[in-house]
Amino acid sequence: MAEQQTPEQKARAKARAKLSRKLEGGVPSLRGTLIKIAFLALADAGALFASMLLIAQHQWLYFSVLLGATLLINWVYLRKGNLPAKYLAPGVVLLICFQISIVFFSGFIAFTNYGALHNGSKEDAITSIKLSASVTDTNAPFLYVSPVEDSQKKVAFLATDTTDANNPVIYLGGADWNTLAWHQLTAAELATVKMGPSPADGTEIALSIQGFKTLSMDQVIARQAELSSLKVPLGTNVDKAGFMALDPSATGVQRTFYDAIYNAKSDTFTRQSDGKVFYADESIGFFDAKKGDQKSERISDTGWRVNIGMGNFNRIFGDKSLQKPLLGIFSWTLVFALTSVVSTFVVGLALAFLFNDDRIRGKKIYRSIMILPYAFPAFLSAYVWKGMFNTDAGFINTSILNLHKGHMIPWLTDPTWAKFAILLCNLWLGFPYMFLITTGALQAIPSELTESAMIDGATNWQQFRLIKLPLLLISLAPLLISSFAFNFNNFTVIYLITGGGPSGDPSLRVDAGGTDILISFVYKIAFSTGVGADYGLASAFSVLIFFIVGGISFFSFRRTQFLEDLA
Amino acid sequence: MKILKRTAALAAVAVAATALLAVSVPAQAATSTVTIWGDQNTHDAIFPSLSKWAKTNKITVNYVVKDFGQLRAQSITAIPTGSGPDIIAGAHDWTGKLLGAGVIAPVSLGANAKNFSKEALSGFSVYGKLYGVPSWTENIALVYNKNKVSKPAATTAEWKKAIADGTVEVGFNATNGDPYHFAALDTSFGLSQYKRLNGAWTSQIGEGGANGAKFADWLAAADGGKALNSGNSGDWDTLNGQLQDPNSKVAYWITGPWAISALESDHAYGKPAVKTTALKPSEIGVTVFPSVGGSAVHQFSGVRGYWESVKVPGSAKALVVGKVLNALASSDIQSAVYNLKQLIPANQVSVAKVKDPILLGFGKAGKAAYPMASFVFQDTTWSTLGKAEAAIISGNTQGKTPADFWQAAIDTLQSTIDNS
Amino acid sequence: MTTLNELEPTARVIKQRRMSPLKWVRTLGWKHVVGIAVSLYALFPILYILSTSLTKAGSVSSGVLFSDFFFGNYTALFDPAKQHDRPFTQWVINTVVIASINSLASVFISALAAYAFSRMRFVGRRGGLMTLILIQMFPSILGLVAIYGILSEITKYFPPLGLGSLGGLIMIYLGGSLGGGTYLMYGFFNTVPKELDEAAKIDGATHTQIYFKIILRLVAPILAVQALLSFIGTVSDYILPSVVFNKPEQYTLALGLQFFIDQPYSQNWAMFCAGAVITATPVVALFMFLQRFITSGLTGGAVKG
Repeated sequence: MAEQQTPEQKARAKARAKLSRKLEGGVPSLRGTLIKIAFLALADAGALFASMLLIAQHQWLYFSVLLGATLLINWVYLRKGNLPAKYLAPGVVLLICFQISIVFFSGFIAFTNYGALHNGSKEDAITSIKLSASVTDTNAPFLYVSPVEDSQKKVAFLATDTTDANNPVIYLGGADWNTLAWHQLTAAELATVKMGPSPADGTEIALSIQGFKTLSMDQVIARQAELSSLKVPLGTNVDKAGFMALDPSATGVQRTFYDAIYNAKSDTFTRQSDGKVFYADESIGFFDAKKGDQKSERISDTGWRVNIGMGNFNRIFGDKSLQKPLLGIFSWTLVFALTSVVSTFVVGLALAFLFNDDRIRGKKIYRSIMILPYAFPAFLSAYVWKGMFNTDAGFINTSILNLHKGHMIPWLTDPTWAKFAILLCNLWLGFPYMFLITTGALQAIPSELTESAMIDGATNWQQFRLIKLPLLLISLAPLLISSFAFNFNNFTVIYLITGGGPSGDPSLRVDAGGTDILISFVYKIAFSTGVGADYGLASAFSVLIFFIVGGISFFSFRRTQFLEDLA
Repeated sequence: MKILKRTAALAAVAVAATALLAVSVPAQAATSTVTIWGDQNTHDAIFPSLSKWAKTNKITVNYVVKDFGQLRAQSITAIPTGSGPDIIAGAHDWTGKLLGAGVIAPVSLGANAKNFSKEALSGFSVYGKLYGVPSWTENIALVYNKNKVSKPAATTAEWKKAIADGTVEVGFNATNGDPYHFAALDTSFGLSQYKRLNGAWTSQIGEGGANGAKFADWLAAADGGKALNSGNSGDWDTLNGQLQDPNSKVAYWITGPWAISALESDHAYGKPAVKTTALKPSEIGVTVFPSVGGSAVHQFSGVRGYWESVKVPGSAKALVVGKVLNALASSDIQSAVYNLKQLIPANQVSVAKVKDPILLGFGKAGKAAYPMASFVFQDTTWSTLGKAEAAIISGNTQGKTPADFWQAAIDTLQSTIDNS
Repeated sequence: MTTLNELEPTARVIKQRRMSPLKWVRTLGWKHVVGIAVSLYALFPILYILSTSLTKAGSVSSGVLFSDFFFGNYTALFDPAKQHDRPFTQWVINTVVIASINSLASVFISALAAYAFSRMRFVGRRGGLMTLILIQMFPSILGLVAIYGILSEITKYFPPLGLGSLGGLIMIYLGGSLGGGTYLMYGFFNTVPKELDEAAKIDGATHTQIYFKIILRLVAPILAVQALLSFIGTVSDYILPSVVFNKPEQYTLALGLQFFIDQPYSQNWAMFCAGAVITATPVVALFMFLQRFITSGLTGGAVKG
């Protein structure tokens, strides 16, 4: 409408705006200012607190972002004018931090192979492979240990082999082979050893030795990071000879060896048994024998997240096993969303017409009951519907329809019935909302319009078709579009009632169920089926779905009055 | 105005300082606090004895109850960010996925290792390395109502007749099937979920071929798989009710020890509702599976247990977490768990103390059981086999013969596995 | 329309009395038939939950509704001896606290923004509003993963808003509230005549006075609706609390209820339904209490007559 403003109107609007600018903040009340400052102080206090923590942890990047944001917010509120920013700031800050960031996060993931085998960073993968590569030699004896330290506070293991209980053998060794090599105690050393019961189970073991201080349990706990990663070498070449490592409860040590060795310089793992080298393959995120070859042998199934460019999108548009079910799923998604909107709207509209009649007694009671489905938490109702649709034991088949064994309706196990069941349940969930909004919209139609129509001799039906319905549609269009967008991504209903099932063609590599809409299909890719979670592919789908539903909504909004109203 | 601003600034500093003090306190306690993520059932079983043990050892155990279905995914997501648990409690067949995601570390049972069966340990092992601490074991067996069956079916002929007569129930879902319970049937045709080599699973599906065709035909036959009583798609009340109901012909149930407590309480099932009364322990029989197909039955055994987060080794609580894991593996706690919830311990020292005839029956029937595989692609195998079995029983084989349909599903599954 | 009724009650009574039974059936009677039928459809699943919650442990009522009246499930939920394993009473408190804070804060934030969009003209206004609407349509199926990523980063540097904190959960909810709430409110704000603001301005009122003293009072229905919607949304959500919280005594009802039915062999539907009834009661009560506002609130914005 603003587009059609006359120059005169524009000028007046301008003058008005000027006047209002002059007036705003002109005479701020003391109370208002106090409240504003109190709020701002609270926010600044929070920011100050957070920045102290960030400084303490030397997080300069986060600190400067926080500082910048805080200054910006203070500037917005302490400056005169610039009203919109003052009203929008709190919401926009939260929106950016916790909503838009999620969108960007997903968008970013869409270009990676993040998923079951590519779950963490490369460092994480190396840590995991290294941990798995150190193997406890279960054939070697388990030695009871007393962790000790020398005068320089360097830790060593005083270990007792009790395999032959009558003739215990005692060893000592530290982290450095050159200063304190692992060895069986000499007679001279043995003379200084004090024996006693092990704190763990009372077995007679060596508790202390001259020149070393035995660590108490509290000291062991205090130094657990150091102790648990202590590797006492069993030879000059620890890779070949192996090492002694503490068992998790700190009662003993056992020979441990590497069955693969990581070389940080060449970024490779070498398998000890056959000398095979595995390279860090940055294109697929695995340590594998031949770079770039998906099928070549890997040192471990544990990989890391790498950027794979358009890989996920190429799969969506190129992988036949995805494409075959996708078309069906996409059309069902559209049918589901459209039917849900239309059915709830028609039922809601009809009810609104019926009950927009003051002569009906108990109207309020009817209305209270009818909006119950809207008031009841949807995830609870979905569970109930699922139970009621059960073929053999469900309430609908056994009690409402009173069917008998052999004639039961396969509500959730037959693809067609399951679609119908989903729509029926979604109608239940959605009609009260439509009933409410159409009631409101009907009451807002000026009575002069219908009265004049009545005088012109229009029938009720004509009044409805020619006057009320078009008006309703115009005013409710934005809500109907939103409802469409909501149902397009109505994950809860599908997931809780059928889980997308009944399952489709078993000869397809993806599980495309009879009631799967795009979003539930994507969920399966992300979290459950297939060879494991594939967040990358799921994110790529999310991005595409966003463009589809956002696009449809955007153009629909444009076609309605919405944008004109905005101007 | 200016004064106001200054006061506000001062106030802000004061608030920040107090808040800073408040936050810096908990950091010290962290080294002796161990966080476990697990489901409610495990919590109820282990927490009383574990927390008692932890108190005497000055360790705080923070057990976070998570939804069983989301527990694994949440652990996998949370651990790399550094905000995950120190210990995950779950089912042993998660091991492959947890390791593939790089979120668990190898564990060592030290001197206690000799007290665990090879099967229990292999359930938590990948390529011969142990990643988890076994807690309790579960396997299915043939449960029957002694009031209806004096001598349970033992031969192939007796068992086939029992099935054909509709006296056998197994709680499978009409869409998703239940290959875990069906292992009591398909393995008797000489099948196995994966082919076995040197006592371990390979990644070759072992359900196809001529034996697979025989199994598929049997599933589709009116006196075979179709005659199995699904108990209304696995409805718990119906399964319990019809086994208890003296007027129902259902006498056998392919199930596990988890079903027993429910059998020992009242139920109501069907329409019009039939109220049935609890069975006494002495009225419940547990026996080994007879064979339908002629070959030996190898049902699955499942082991519950605990994994250590990959972030723990070398960290400031490495030994504390190790102590908790060792305590969980100890016969003290495992016996306490048995006494509380009647779960069959994995620690053999505790097993020796089990006296309950029903549990001993499950133990005896489980001698031939194989631990479930824990491959990364394990979920796909479960769902594909289950859905194919369910489709064959319901006759929904998309125009193919049952045998062809079964083979097609297996071929796809194998190619999915090979391409992963 | 209530006011209309109050104005002419006698006329209405007289009209109805004069109606012949046949005409009553034709004009109003059938509407009652439809009304009763729809009411049954609406009520039925809820009665089913109520009925199941009154059955003995674990049994899903099959066959006849309300064949049992067993209140043991309800007492068991609040049984002090069981609070250690399942702090149900604490969950009720948490749910009410979180949902209340969230609904108040989200109303505050989105009402501020809606006022700006409705009354002020600034660069990026159109685009901003459109972005708000569209951003809501992003399928946040990876929300779980993303939220872990964001919150665990925050946890490292600022624990009060990180994982395991009430603040973290509220922040995530509020981040989403702007999109949902602002658009709904924007329309309603537009229905308040601008002349009112201008008159007030000329009287020397500041923009905050206009906003808090005039506008907010006039848009009360939509504030109530938005508060209600976000209350329901929070009560129903079990995913986010399970991501953010890591102590059972922090959990909410919707999350805690999952533990009654999360394992295939030990689902306890009766307890679940009893918990569900307790969860739904405050929401339904609030809904009924605010019903007067709902119709006008939901449509006021979209419908300008």
